[in-house]
Amino acid sequence: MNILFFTRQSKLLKPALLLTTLLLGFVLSLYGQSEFSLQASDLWRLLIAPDSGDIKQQVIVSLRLPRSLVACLIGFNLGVAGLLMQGLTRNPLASPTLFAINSGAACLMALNSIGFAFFSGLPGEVATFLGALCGGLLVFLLGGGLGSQSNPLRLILAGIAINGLLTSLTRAALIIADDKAYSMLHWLSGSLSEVDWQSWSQLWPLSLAALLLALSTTRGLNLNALGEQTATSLGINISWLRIRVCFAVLLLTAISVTLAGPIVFVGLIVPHFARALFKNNHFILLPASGVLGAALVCWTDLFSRAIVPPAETPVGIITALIGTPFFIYLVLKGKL
Amino acid sequence: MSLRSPFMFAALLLSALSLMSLQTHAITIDHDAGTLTLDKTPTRVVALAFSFVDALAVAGVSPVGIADDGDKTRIINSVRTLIGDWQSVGSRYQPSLEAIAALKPDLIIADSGRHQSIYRELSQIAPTLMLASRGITYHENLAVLQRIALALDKTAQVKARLKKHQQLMRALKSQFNNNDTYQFAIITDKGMWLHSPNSYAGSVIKELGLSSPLAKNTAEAYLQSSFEQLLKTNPDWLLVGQYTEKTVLDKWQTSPLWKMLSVAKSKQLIHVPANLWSLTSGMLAAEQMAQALADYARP
Repeated sequence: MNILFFTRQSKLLKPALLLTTLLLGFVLSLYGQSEFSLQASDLWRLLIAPDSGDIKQQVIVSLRLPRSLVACLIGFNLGVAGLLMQGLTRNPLASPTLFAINSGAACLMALNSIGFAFFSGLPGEVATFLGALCGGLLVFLLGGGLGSQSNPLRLILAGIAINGLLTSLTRAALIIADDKAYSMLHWLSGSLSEVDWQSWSQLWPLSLAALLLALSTTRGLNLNALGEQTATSLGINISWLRIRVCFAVLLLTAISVTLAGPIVFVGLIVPHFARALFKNNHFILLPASGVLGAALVCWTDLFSRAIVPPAETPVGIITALIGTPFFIYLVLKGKL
Repeated sequence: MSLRSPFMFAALLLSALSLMSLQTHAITIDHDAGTLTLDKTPTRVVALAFSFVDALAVAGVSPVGIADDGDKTRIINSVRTLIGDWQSVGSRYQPSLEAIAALKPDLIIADSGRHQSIYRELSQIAPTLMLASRGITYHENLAVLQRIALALDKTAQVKARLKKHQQLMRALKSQFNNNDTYQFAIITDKGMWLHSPNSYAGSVIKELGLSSPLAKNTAEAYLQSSFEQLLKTNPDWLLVGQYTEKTVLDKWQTSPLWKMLSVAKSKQLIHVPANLWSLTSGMLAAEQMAQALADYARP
C-alpha cells in the first residue's frame, strides 16, 4: 500500500514540478524587470482591488498579461511542433526549422516591408503567415510528403534547398531596404516585445485547433516509433498520419513565427527533455513538451529583459544561446 | 641694375612657386584609415554617405556621384538646392565600384563604419578619405566637416559658414525657455527606436539646450523601446519619423494606457520627415532640425 502510494506520488512529482516552474515563470514575468518597478504587491492589489486609473495595474493588464500568455502559448506550440517533427521522422535532429517555415515567414515579411510587388498590399501579419505556410508546404511537397513511403533524406535536402533560397531572398531585401534593416533584424531574432491582446486573440483559436489535431496523432506516432512497416501492419495509414502531423506542425509554427518572429531551438531542445522525463508515450510527451516549451520561452523572455535594461534583447537570441550548447552536448553524448 | 636683379630674381621665384602651388596642392589629412596625401585640389568628388553630401554643399562643391540608394529625394531639399546634378553610384550599403570608377573621381569620401571592407578597392579608383558618418553626434560631425573642407581646400569658406551656423544655433537656442523634455524616435511596424543624446538627432536636441527624458548615463545611440518603456520615458515632446506606413504607434494609441502619456495630454506628438531626422546627419540638416523644433515649440 505504502509502496503504491509513493510510486503514485513520484509519478505526480515530475508534472507538478514542471507546472510549478511554468507558473512561477508566468507570475514573475507579470511584474519582473519592469521600468515601473512593479512588485508582487501590485499584482495582489490588481486581484483584490482593480483600479483602471492606476498606471501600474494598467501596465500589468494591458502589456504584461498578454505578453506572458502569448509567450507561454508560443512556447507550448513550438515544443509540441518539435515533438511531432521528431516523432514523425524518428530523427532527434528534426525541428520545425527544417520545414523552412521560419525562413518562409522571414522572406515574405521582408518583401512586404520593402514593398515588393503584390506583397506590399497585404497586411504584414498576413504576408508573414502566408510565407510560413508556403515555405512549409513547399518543403513538404518537394520532400515527398505525399508519397506512400517516407524519405527523410529527401525531406532534409528539400528543407536545405528551400531554406537557402528563401534566406538569400531575405538578405537581398535587407540590402535593398538598408534603413529598415535594423527593425527587420530585430524581428528576425525573435522578439515578444510587440505582442498585445490582439496577438493573443489571433494566437489562441488557431493554436487550439492545431493542438487538437496534434493530439489526434499521438497513437499513430507511438506506433510509428516502432518503424513505418510495423505501424502499417498495426493498421496505421502512414501517409494520412504524415499529412496530419505536417499540417499541425505548420499551423503551430506559422502562427507563432507570425506573432513573435523565429524563436529558434525551442522545438529542438524541448522534446529531448520531455523524453528524458517521461519516456516515450506521445500521449504524455505532447502536453509535457508543451509545458516545458511554455516554461522555457516564459523564463527566457523574462531573462531577455534583464540582460541590458532598459533595452530588450530578442528572446530568440537567448533560446539560441541555450540551444547551441545543448546541441553540442547531444552530439558529444552520441545521441545524434 | 645691381639692385634690381635680386628683386627680379625673388619676384620670378615667388611667381614660379605660386604657379606650382596652384598645380600641387599637396595636403596631408589624418583619416580613419591612416593618412591621405592629396597632390591637387579635388574637383570630381564621389560621396558615399549623406552626411558627406551635406558637408560638400557647405563647402560649395558639387559631388559628381552619390551613393543615394537610387533615390534622389533621399538627399534633403536644403542640400539638393545647393549642389548640381549627380550620378547615382548605388546603395550606401553596397555602392557600385564600376559606377564610381566610370565617373573618374579624384576623391572618394567613404563611411568608415560601412565601407571599411572595400577601402582597398576604392583607393585603387581614387584617393579615398575614410570618415565617420553613421552613428556620430553633432560635434563629431562638425569635426568631419572641417576635415572635408581641408581636403577640398575650402577651409576659409567653411569656417565662415560655420560661424554663421553657430550664430543661428545660438539664436534658436535662446528661443527655448522651457524645461520640457524632447525625444526623437523612429517608428516602424516592428517597433520604436528612441534616438538618445548620443545619436545625431539627439545631440542636435541637446545642443539646443533641451533636455532628454532618457537616463543621463544612456550610452547607446538607438534604444529599442516597447510601449512600457515609452510610458516610463514619458517625454513632453515626442517627434516621430515613420519608416513604414503602418506603425506600432497606431496600435499603442488604441490602448487605454496611451492617455497616460504626456504627449497624449498636451498633443505634443509630432510627425517629422524621417529622411531629415534619421538618415541625414550634417550641418545643414542640423539647422533644418533646429528651425523645425523652434517652430513646433513656439506658443
